Amino acid sequence: MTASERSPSEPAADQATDLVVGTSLWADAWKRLRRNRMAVASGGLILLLAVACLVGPPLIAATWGYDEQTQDLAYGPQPPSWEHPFGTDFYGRDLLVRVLSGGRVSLTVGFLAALVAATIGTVYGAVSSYAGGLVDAVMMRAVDVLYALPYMFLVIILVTILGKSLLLVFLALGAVGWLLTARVVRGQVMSLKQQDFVLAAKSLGTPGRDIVFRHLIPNTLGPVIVTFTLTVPSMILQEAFLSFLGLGVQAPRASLGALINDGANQMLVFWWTLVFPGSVMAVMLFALNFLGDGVRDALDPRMRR
Amino acid sequence: MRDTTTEPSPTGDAAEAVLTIRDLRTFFQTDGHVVKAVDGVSFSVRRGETLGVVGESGSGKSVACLSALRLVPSPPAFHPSGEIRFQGRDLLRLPEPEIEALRGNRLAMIFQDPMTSLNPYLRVARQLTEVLEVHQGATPAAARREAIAMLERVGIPDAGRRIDQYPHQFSGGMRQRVMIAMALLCQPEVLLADEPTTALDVTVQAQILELIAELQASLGTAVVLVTHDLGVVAGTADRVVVMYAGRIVEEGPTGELFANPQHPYTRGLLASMPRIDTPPTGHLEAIAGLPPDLGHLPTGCAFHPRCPLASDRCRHEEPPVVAISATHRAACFEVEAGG
Amino acid sequence: MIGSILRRLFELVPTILVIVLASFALVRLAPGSPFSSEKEIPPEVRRQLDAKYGFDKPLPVQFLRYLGNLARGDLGLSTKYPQRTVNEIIAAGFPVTLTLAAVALIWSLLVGITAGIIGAVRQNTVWDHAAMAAALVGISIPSFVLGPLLVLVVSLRWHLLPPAGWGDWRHVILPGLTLGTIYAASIARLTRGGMLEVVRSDFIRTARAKGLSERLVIWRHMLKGGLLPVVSYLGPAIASMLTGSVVVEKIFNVPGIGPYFVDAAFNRDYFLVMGIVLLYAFFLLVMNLVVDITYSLLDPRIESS
Repeated sequence: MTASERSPSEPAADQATDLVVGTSLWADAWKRLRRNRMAVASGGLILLLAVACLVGPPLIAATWGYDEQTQDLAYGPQPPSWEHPFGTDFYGRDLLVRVLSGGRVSLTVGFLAALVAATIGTVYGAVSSYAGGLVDAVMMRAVDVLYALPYMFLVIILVTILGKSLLLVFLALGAVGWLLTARVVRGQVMSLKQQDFVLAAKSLGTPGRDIVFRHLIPNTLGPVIVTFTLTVPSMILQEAFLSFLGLGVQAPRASLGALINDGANQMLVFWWTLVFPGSVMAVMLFALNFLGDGVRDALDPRMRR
Repeated sequence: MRDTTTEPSPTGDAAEAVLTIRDLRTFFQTDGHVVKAVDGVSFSVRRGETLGVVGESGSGKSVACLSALRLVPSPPAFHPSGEIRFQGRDLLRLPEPEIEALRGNRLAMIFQDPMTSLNPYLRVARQLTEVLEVHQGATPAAARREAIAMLERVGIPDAGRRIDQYPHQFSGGMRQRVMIAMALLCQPEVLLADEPTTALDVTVQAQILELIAELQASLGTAVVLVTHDLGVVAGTADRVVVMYAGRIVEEGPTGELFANPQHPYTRGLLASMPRIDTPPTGHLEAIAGLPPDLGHLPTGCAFHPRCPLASDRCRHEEPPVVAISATHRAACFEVEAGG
Repeated sequence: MIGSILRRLFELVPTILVIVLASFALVRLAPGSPFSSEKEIPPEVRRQLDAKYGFDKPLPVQFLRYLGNLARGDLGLSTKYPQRTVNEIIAAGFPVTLTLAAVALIWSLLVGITAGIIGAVRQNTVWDHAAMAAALVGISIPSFVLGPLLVLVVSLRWHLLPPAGWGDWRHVILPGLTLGTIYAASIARLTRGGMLEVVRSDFIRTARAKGLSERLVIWRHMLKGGLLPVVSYLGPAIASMLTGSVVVEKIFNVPGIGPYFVDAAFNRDYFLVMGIVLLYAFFLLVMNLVVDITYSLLDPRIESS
């Protein structure tokens, strides 16, 4: 049915549509996403950034023979020019290469940490709500407690304990970032549990583990993907936050947060050292947020218009 | 019906009618095409009369009512065209503040689902008194007294205490009583009831219909009762309008329409309804096929894909409205003109 | 009502105990010690230091002793700042951090709710698009980019407000804006979403059918339900504002508690780390309780149990 009679009193017909839509949900969502021009542009921009961050540094190294750590103290800090479009920093290092390799760190950490968070959260939320009863109560109480903790402080403690390696940073971020996913998945499974196909599977004697992994989790994929796309930028932000505090990737390697920290300290004299890393960071987050919004709108037709 | 601008409602004189709808069209813009939810509908109700508007989901009956109060959200809807006469004015052309002053005051509406139609965040008292405060400038104390009196009138026991509760503390039937009380606070000329009993238990349904009839009798309100249930109409309505795919396919006095249905769709509806006055035949007939997709209506008569009598002509031409008697008409090629 | 609040406060006790135990374990089981950074401590001095802080006792004993002190409100001694107790450090820094967070919260609520309501009420108009684009930009500009930029423009170019330090109200504005903007943007989006959810509901149609003016419909009938998502967001938001102030305090050289925490985590200043974590956890648990109670006051269907 079309949305024409959505507002008046035809909920029965509305439900019927939802069932019909079920099979072609993904195709439909994909169509809606493609029609959202800003989301498509954001996706393209992220792809472009990712390719530039991956290919850029080695390409520059091969062509001009320097990388993000190559210093030229005699050259020193210079404003943007044709040779160095983003300028150079205090040690004469090319800022473009440094921003690109910093961007690579950000994107990698963002996606991996979000993946870790989504995986833990999905399994936790599904198990909790499927088990129900006391198990559910205890598991969700634990989430509540963790939710109340000063999240960033936990990450800081974890990072100072585990050491400042890139791998550990995203593990630490992911390990405390799964709470939202767990709640979303639990809510979703709670409503799915009551539905006929789960009851049918149960009455056929399907084991609980199979019901969770074959029937429930696949059906929570939509909300999980939405949460995932919106977790990526927040993870990137938190990695930068750690780097800004000197807890992330260590010098002389570059990360956007660390670059922004350097830039903020010298912005009066060398404005470009703040402006370029800051803008790249903001553009990256903006595009990821916009894409996340687009994905949410596409997967959740209720939010349309 | 298609062509009604030339002929006034056959059911008596327009002078007596409280509310007259002429050639109402409400279209929606959805994903690239126009949906004609209401497409040239005309009817009227008189003081103290109950008009039943019957049809399946998507027949446009609810949208027609909402259009009368200009409550169809726009967008996605276009502004309805046609004419809705009330107290000498055309509601479709009133400025917003004036239609606001009429809504809930001279024309009131109650909705299908009492569970969702009351504001869950506000006490019942607040939701009732604001009507009197807005339309009659009543003081809070006076409004409260009147609201309690109205709650008692619609059969809510212990109204003085219950008025300070929240909607979720009421049962479905009680909530619909609250809705009715809310609608009747200002003693409106017209009450539009959109499936007022559909969401309720059968026993409660009867009570609510009885309540509406009672209040209508004492207040002289004209009632437009929208429903998909012919059974509801049979017991309460004076006249019936049957809608299909945004148009009226048959209209007539309740008794006549039930005894002598003309349009194949009306016949189908009646055949699919269990009846007490005829011996059970052992089976009920369902109308074949599904309600039409309003975005892609068939050509000709919209009912032809489901019609047992459909001919080639039905597929290409829209059937005209045929008067069977002075008060009974239908839109079908198979109908013989009479009286 | 008061009874149930007291009961919920009482219920926090086991949660806090779990947090104390977990943070104690996390901090104490980490490699390193408070004195490992200072090289060449004579064994004799080391032994004296350990005795002073009680590190010579077995861990369980230390834990019980810590609990005992905690019950009396004594958070112990700092190892990094031997002349100061943890209580003193917190008493000096926490009010500053709290002031900063309060300013950020007020700013984010004012701007966020206003923008969100405009967006929802004028849905799909220029106003809506402008408000939501601004919100998306706001979400995408991290505080450590926004802060330096504000300093650069407002303080150093226009000389309107001091660039750093702490003293009178003029010192609060820039850090407050820096900290609050990202939350203002989130609140704007949540408000809009919540309001739109309500806009489409049946009871709003009823309110219109009653002939209420648009203003009454919005203020009396929509706002309460529409703001519920914002209320449930406030718990995590306050948590993240408090921890996020670490960065803002660093940028604006504000003498809050944040910089101490990072330092303390690095230097294994056991009691200071735990003191700050516990303070924040307790504060956040109480704030979550306040949020829950507010929620149940707004939504009568939720019992405040």
